[in-house]
Amino acid sequence: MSNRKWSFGLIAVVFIFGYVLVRFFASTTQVDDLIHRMELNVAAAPPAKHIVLIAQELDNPFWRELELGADEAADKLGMKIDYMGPIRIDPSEQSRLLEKAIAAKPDGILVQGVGTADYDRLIGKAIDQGIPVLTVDADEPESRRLAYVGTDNREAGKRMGELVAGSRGSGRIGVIIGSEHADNQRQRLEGFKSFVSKVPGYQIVDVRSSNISRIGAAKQAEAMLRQHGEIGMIVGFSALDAGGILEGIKAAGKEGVRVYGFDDLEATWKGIAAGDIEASVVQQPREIGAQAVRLLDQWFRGEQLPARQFISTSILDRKPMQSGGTSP
Amino acid sequence: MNMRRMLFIVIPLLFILNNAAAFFVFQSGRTVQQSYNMMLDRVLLYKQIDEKTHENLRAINVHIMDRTPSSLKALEKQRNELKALQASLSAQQPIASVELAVRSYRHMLATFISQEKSVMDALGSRTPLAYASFYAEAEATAGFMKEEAYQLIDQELSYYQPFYRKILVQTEIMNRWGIAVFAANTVISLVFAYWISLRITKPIRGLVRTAEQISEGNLEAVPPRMGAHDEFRTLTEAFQQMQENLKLLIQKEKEGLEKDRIVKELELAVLQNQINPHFLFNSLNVLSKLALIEGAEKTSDLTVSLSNLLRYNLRQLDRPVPLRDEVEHAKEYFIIQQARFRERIRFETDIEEEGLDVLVPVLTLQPILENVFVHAIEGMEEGAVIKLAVRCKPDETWVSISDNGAGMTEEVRNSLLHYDEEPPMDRDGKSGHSTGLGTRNVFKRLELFYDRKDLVRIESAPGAGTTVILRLPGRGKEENHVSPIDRG
Repeated sequence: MSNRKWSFGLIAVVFIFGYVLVRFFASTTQVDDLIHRMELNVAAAPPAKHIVLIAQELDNPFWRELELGADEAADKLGMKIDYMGPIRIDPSEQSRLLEKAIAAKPDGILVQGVGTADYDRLIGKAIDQGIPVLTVDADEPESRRLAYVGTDNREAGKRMGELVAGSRGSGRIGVIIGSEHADNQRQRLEGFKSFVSKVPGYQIVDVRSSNISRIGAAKQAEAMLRQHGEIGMIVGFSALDAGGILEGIKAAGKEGVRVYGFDDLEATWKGIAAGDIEASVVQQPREIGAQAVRLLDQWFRGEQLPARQFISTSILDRKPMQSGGTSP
Repeated sequence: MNMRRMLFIVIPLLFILNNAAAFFVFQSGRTVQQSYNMMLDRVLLYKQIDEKTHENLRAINVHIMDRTPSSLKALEKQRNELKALQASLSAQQPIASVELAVRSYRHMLATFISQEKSVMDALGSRTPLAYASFYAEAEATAGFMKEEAYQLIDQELSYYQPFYRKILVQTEIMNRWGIAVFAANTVISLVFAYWISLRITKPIRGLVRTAEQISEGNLEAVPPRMGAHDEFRTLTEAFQQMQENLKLLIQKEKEGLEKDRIVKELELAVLQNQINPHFLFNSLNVLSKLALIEGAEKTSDLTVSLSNLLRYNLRQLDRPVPLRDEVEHAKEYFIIQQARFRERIRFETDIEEEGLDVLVPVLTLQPILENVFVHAIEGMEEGAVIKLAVRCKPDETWVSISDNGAGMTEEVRNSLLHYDEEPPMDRDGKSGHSTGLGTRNVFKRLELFYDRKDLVRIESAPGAGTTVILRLPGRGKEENHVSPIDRG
């Protein structure tokens, strides 16, 4: 065989080998790169403040909104939100989570007020251990929580009363509240009652608890209508109520009953658009979350906190279909 | 590149290549393994801490039950082990996505350890049931920790999952290419090995083939052409040089042989140059008869003498004859010369009959006589005497031919005696052909015949005549001991 042929053959073989080698190295570096990236995430760990946020219900849109607001504020302030909550509404699980959070000694805790003595005790325990606790959405006034951030529920109840009073038709009102124990529900009801009682021609006929469930709201609404046929409007004080009430009215076979709700869940929002729901008092969970985090930051900087920090509400009805109502 | 250097480069190169490929495959496998270990270590640590916490609880329980020093010791041991685990947990760098959970877990562990301590302190105090609430708290914390550990492991795994899926895919690809690298490496090694062996064996085979051809006698065999400047080229060139030298040597040897052969042939030709064609000889017979018929007896006799002379001259040159024949022949020759010179010359013989039987090469005397006639006598007007004498000496027979002619110079005498050398030119420009070429021939043949050099003696001086004496070994009838057949 001639020398040239040999040379070409050798060069070809060397090239093939080189190609294979390059491919091999490429895959090696890819693996290395992946591992490196995995480890890079390990190294970057600035000691952000650990804030535990215990929601009423894990995948509740209101709470998710609140978490979002808290997250955004926390990002700016060098904190991290550890969001947790019961899968279904369960106050005892909320207590347990709080207890667990205290064992983990975070830098701050945001909780919803539940209104039980056990909860008060746990909040006290956290404060004893130097963990600041703020209540959001619902207050725990008996406890030693540092501050409450959320809607002024009494005021919100009054606004609801204004809405109701402005409407025409029968003044007999049925009320559905989320929970009789929950501070926020009670305050809303109080505010509502105090306003309605001053308006002539309006009267609260019945108050029932939905136990913060849409099905509960539907059942209570139906029962209410069957018992008091003269009811011309039903007011729901928790977010899920409005949708439930609509179902209940349908089940009772009634028509022309006006419905008022709270917050802007999709069912509520659609009901308003369709004209089935008159209006809704809308809270701003995002702002609540953000404000709570801001307050914690102030606390970390040694500032005194106001005992209550109210976040305004707005009215959602058919006319403008836009949020941004003014605070009274 | 010479062979040694090439081997020195290529073999380690292949070796390094092989090892490098193996090393990289090994190394990348190890990296992947390390990453697995990294995660596994963490996960195992969480699990271990969780288990250890519960073992601690159990140890506390046991101690609460029996309150013996041994159970306290066991509890202490458990506590220390848990603290060691706590140290390794705080030494760990958690990944960002589970950083909070790890921090919680760490705090929970600290809480548990402090609660455990409270339990033990309470056990030592006087209040009997003071430990109960602390124990309940520790138990609750242990429960939280279990939950947190599972959550943590879950989070870690879900963080690593996409990475691992990708790594698995890449590892698969890497393994495939790794195998390809090994295969290609093997191929390249084989090709290189074959190439090198070919580079070594091919020229050797070529050289061997050429060597075989040469040993079989084919000197024209062409050695293989070498492209590269390596040892084989040097070897081939040396081989070629040797071949050329061999050819040259053989050529020279051949030339020498050829020269010898030509010299022999020349000698033979010279020795035969006096041979006359046969027809001349027959014509002479016819002439003799014619002369007799016409009554010219003298002419007839002369013609017969000439004929005899010629006949004698045409004899086989390699056959020796008795001296007697030579003498007869000399007489015959003289008669013919006398017909030419008439009274101007006289021929005298003084012969001892005993010496005439000695064998001599044919035509020994005639050329000498011829020389005498041509050089010594020709110029003499009269009174020229030529004398032929045969004397018997002990073991030798001397033959002398003398004249009273012009004689010769010492120079000519020497040139005649040194008959092996080329004859010099004569003073008068005549070629040496006539100046004793026959004489030299005679001397040479005598030497060859008797294998002796001292057989000829010449006595002469200018104007004082010349005597040539031939000393012939052997006497009279004694048979010569050397077979004349063997004589060249």
